[in-house]
Amino acid sequence: MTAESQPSAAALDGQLLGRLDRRRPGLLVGSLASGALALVFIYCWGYQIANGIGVTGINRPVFWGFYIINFVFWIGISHAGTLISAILRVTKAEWRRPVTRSAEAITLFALAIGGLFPLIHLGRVAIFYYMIPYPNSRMLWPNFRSPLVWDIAAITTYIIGSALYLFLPLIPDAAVMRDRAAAGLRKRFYAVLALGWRGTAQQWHSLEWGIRILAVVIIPVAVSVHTIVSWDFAMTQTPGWKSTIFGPYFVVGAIFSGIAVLMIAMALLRRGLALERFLTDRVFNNLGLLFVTMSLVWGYFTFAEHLTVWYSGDLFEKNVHHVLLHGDFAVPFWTMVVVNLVIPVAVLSFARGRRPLPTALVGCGVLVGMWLERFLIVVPALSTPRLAYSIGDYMPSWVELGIMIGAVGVFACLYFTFTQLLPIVSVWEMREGWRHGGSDEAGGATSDAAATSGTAAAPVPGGGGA
Amino acid sequence: MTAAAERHLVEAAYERVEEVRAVVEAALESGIAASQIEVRSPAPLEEGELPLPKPRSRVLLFALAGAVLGGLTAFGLAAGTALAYPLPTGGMSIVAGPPVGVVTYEGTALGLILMTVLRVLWEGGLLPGRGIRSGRGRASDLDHHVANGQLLLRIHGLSEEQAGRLRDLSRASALEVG
Repeated sequence: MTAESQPSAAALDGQLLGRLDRRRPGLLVGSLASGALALVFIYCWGYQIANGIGVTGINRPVFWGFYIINFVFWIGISHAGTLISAILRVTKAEWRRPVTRSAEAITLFALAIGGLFPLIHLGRVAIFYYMIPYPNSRMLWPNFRSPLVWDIAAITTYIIGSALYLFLPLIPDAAVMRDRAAAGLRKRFYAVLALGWRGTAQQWHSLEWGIRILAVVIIPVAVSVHTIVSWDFAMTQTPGWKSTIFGPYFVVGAIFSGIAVLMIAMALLRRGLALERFLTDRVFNNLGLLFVTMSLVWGYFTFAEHLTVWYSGDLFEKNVHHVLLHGDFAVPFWTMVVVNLVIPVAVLSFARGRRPLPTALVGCGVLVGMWLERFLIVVPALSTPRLAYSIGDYMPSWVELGIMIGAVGVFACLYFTFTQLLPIVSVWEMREGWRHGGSDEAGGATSDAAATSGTAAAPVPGGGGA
Repeated sequence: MTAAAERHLVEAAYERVEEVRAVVEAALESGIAASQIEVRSPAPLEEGELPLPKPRSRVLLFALAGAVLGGLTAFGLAAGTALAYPLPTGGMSIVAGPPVGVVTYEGTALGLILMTVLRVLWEGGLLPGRGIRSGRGRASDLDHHVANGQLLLRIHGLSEEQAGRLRDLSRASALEVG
């Protein structure tokens, strides 16, 4: 795009704010529809609380079912945002600017839902506080030698860190919304969120320091979370779970499924909010390249995991391996391989495939594949007998299915509501990109005037110049 | 000059950084201290764009202190638990390294994150009771310009004469003068 044909930074600014100000009926419909699904979640969980954990299909020897599968799945999805956003911030990738807010919101909401599943799995959710160290006279105290307690420590840290990592960069945008809103409830809401932000040099300086530090710290925290989730399995002696590469394998799978959700969310936002100028083809191209890379890395880990099991010749390990590759679970296993590896590589290896629609469709397939991966980790290992009497199968009940589907509704409802209330594209980061638009990464050269003013031609961060 | 006479405030909204820079330079040349000048911007300004001293921050220092505090607390919790509720370990150590290490790691990160955010809010005057001193951080009638992507220059503590001169100077290039 030539400088003459480029809109000015002020015009882009106006376009972005205009899109964010405008009420979108589609978003409201989405919120209501997903809200209805969320009611299914509430009903099913309520039914389970009233009638006990016996309403599920969980039974000996398959004592971990859909709830733990969904726990791992949602925690995996939560890696979309904060981790990807942090990596892009730390590496100063300019095309991150339109992506980060959306990604960070995905993390927070997915993590909140993922964190609910162990509580649902408890059955007697009212006594969840037994896991928390607090002074009491009954000698109730968590055993820190259990990876399940490490989960609590890691997920608590990650959810607090992710919430604050989303909130800090949101403060200046909340101030923008506050100062643009007419007096009333909305203005008061934004005023509370903005905490009195005015955009002074000291505020910007401190905020930049804070974001920089959080971006660096949140990366090892995110890695630790999914590593610890993997240790829930790998620290046992169960064939199919006892693996030294489960930590990195889970982290890779988490990032992979996280990018899948991010691709879907961004394609929907781009279309639903008409953000084509901001969520550009270049953003999808770059994320598509990251996506296909993660697909290949996931494929490599899957191959390495199964090769070592097969080569070991361990009888019990080979039994689990056999049902996966050739037995009762062969169909989901090979489906997983096709949707997680074959299709992403076939589609995303080509530039035409790294456009919004194909990447979103591939993302949907990967989500199915990654859910199947977690199913294939949990169920076959438990249902394959090691002792003659411990034979059993697993069939989820309608309650488990309702909670699983309803969780998607809760997530979508939270995300749609967030998008309606707050800028899903970080306004100040886009403005910063326009001001410093002279760099190649920001989308091509621009005039000095554009870099310092809001009137001259300016490139879109993340747009053009791929 | 009386204290009341020095309480004048000039504020003006600008489209470009260069326009703000020109007014700030003129203000500094006329003897106004840098501490009296406040620039509100819609995005962070690059270092050196304005002839004003760089703000100072101790966020990193507090982050490190938070990490130490969080790490020690988490270590105390995990190791103290092992000692207070000793389990039969078959001759192995009562305070086991890996579990204590994992919990300490997460506690370190949590302490660092919390302290970082608290310090950012403190320095920015965003915690209740902060930032209202000497007029800084107060809402302005011209704040909507910052929300719309423009810059707001505020100069505090001026005499009537200084304020008049700066208003005249600002009117040449400012979008609005308050």
